[in-house]
Amino acid sequence: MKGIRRSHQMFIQCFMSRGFLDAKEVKHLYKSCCETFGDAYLADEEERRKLLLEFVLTINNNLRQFHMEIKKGVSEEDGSNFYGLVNMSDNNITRLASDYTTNELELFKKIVEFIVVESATGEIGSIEVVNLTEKLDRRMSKNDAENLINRMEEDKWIRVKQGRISLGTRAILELEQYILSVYPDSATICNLCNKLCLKGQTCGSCDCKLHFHCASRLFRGQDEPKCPKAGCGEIWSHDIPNRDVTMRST
Amino acid sequence: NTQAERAMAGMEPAEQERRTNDLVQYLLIMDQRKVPIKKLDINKQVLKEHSKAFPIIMRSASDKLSKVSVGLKVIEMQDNKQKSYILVNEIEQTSESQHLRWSDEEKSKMGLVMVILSLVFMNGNTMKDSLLWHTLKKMGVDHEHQHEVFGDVKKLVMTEFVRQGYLECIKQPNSDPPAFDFKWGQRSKQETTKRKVLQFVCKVYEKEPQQWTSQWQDLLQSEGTPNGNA
Amino acid sequence: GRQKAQALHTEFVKFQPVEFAEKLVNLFGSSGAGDMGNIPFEGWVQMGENIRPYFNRSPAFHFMAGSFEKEVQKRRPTPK
Ligand SMILES: [Zn+2]
Ligand SMILES: [Zn+2]
Repeated sequence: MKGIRRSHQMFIQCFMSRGFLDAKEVKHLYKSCCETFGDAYLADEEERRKLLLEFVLTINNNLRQFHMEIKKGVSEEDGSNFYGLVNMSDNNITRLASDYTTNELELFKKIVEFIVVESATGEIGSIEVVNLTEKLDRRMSKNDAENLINRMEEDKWIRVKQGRISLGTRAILELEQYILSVYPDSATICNLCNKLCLKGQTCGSCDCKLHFHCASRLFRGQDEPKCPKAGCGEIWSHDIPNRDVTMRST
Repeated sequence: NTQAERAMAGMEPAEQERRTNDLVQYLLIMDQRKVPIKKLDINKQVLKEHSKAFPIIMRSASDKLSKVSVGLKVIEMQDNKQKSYILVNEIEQTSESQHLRWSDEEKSKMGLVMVILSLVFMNGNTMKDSLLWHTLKKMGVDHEHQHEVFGDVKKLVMTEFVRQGYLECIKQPNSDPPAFDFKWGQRSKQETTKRKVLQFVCKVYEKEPQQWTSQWQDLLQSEGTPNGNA
Repeated sequence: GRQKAQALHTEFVKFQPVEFAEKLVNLFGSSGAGDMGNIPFEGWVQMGENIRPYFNRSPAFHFMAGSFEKEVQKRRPTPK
């Protein structure tokens, strides 16, 4: 295993502290780590990108033994890339996490279930969340539920927009396996990228689902987009975002 | 410690490795609470039937936390009763360090910790509870009333900060009603220094550190600098 | 003695706890006159941000997966 330097440790510590970074923040962090500890920071963008990949690979090779990994997640809102330090294990030790109480986690699980099973749009309203608190074994006040939502939003597990709550990219990244294994019939996979799809477009005729950004990519430049699922091929009736715009990958 | 060595010999290398990695994971997760991690709990949750190998596995785990992965050091707390440990950052933080994020709750509590550490140090490394409460009151922090930010101030200062190791609270013998002396806790001594705290105080006063003659001498002595005025 | 201190050009300053508290209120208290002798939430947060570099505090590892018991698998019965 290639050696960890102080620059790697600073990078890891930032991820531990912040949990989740966007692509721009990652590049800025990498620069900071190199400059603080005198690692070479290359001028050429392509060479630098390769070095950053190697940098993260070294980190992951050393963290794997502790079931930790820096992973890439894609936002369902706009297809942009995010990076998170995730836990990959499930045992008596991981249950000792204390950011949220058992009761709070019970509510979160119910929120996840609603979003995956009941919601067509991958969202839950704040009123419905209060209704869910009534289904808990132990009562939770409306105040406590609001406080929990605020903290989860700050920690980037959920997104809140105009009273609608959806799972944040960080939660989808960490809980994808959990959701697919607990809700195999309700959870849908995007036809293009094969990842969990909570927010997206569904074919009018079959169950084919696409992320908004995957639909953009798939139907780019097509006048009459058709459902990509084998055996369907029906007209794709939804408005396709940014169809004529070239998507740049980061 | 031959007892530990015997216990290690009774484990397959893969098992030794697994327990070490489990311990690293355990220490990182328990560090969320900022309360010293007890040896008793480590044995119960992680080492179990291999508890006798504790010293060796703890050593391996500390090495991994420090060199191989994250740059955190494991510090053993000095205690008569039971062994416990805290994690401290090995990477020296500077005013340029922008990469670590503290929540608003952490910031406000650590602000209060810094105020108390400053008061204690500048007062000669100890401060009576009566004087501390009197001083904090001047900042709107009243130990007898609920505070909008800190809630139960007395509980926060005397229980939470003490339990985490930021402060020591020693009952004055034969005091009735009970009176206490506040001192720096072991975590404070590990995470910061007298020099840094004096720096903060100097910023507040816009003075030079040497102008605080007794505190400056105290600081130099702690650092082991030869002091011509001994 | 005093002459020696003056000769060294150092000013002997005695620490007054209450004076320190008042200076902190000046720095971190709200500017409104109605908030005498008090530091509001924002002031404490600002102070915390200012003193952060003085502490070598360890970042803790936060995560969601594995922190709770898995729900039992939920199957939807296939409609006939
Ligand atoms: Zn997709
Ligand atoms: Zn279709």
